[in-house]
Amino acid sequence: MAAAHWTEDLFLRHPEVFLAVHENAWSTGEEQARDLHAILERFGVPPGGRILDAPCGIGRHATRLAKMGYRMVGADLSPVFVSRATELARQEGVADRATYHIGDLRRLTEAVPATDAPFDAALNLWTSLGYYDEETDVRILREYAKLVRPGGILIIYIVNRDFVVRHFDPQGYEAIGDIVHIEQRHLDLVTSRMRNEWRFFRRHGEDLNHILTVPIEHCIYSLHELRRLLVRGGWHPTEAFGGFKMDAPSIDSPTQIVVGRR
Amino acid sequence: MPPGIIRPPQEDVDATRMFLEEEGIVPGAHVLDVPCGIGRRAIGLAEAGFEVTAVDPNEMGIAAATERIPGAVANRLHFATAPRDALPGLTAETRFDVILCLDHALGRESTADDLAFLRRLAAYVRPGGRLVLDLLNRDFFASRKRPFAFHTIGSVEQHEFRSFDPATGVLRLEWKFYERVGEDLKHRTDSSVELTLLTPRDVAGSLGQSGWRMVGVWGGWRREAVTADHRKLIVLATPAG
Repeated sequence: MAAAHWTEDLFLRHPEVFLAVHENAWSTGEEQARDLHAILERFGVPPGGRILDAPCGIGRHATRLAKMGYRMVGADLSPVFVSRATELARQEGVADRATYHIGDLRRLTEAVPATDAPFDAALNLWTSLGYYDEETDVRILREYAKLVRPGGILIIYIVNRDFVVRHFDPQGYEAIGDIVHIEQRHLDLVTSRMRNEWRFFRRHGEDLNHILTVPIEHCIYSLHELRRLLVRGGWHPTEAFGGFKMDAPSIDSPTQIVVGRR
Repeated sequence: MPPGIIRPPQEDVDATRMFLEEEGIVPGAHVLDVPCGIGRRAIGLAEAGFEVTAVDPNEMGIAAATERIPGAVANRLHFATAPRDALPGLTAETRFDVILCLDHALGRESTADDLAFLRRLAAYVRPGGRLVLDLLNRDFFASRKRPFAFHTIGSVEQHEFRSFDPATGVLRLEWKFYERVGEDLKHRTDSSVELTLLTPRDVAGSLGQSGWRMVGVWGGWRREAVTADHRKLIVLATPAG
């Protein structure tokens, strides 16, 4: 039996682990949604516009944007995340303006109801490209392009390869409630691929009980590569930023935002 | 641990040996290694032909090291203990060609203690002899935010949490030790240390106040230039007199 792709391991087989990561990040969505609102305005997305957020996780951006008046559609590979997103949207009173669907980025047009398109904007947040090979990334960008109207935009928020090269930290630790996430990172400079090992434990007193080990492999991009990728995916690259505050791109910024116009 | 695995990393010994040879300190020279820890490098240098005296405050470590002296170097390697505030604690007439003070032996206590230690060392070096310090480079830790690292040694997994305070120059390291049981980690013990890290200028100042003169500082044993990308400072000093 061929080994499952890590996304299936992490998001389908053991969604409860990454669900905890999403829940932990939920509060950060508030401010980031306000920042996204400013970016959307800058690129002429109208108030109340239609926006696609994929992958949406538990909707920490989409549900907030819906509260600001946008009509949001989210899609995610994980039925568990989608169901949680739907529940949270209901709790926040925006179930009518934020709907969530199960769907794979590589077949986004199959996941999103045709009646929801075309969108004024699409969002790809939290380093959600580069999980497969580069040709697949191009295909994914074309999927977004099919769903966004001419003149609409795509916002990609993703780790900055230049930062990783300059500030490479081979190991990481994060405590998420009673879950401990320990990461061993390897960067292959020839292929620009990260090969990481993520171990998740549950705290039991002072002990750490193992839950899951996943090898995470993904491609990281420098800004010029992302711009080229956008072009190949049917987008015109416009501005780029170092992060949600629209600061200038920098080698010292851990993340980058690129905006493509359809 | 079985005696067989208490070996110095050979590249550490080789790098130190080459560094000393470039200073004209060749096999046969008298070396003081203080504090020597569990004596791994001292054994390696004795095997390379140096006459080594190695001193450490840890009596248990020294007792274990003494038992493990390979027969072939028994006449070239002497272990001794001394209280930390009296290191190296040797007889007054002993003089060495070089004193090695490795593995960030400064900055563990107060600056006054460091100065007193360096002054005591100055009494044990022959005229024209050398002092070699191997310190952690403040600028490396100040310019890198690496809050976590883990290491595995056999079935032991060590988690290290680091924090650096630029105002005091103190690097705080906290360690949690686990035993790997299957893929679970069973907590065994914790420890921590606070190290005051120095810039080359700081080190030159301390040496100048304690009877030494800094004559060189590098980013590594191969005399790499000092940059913020080097984890260590290798410092060379001679007696000021």
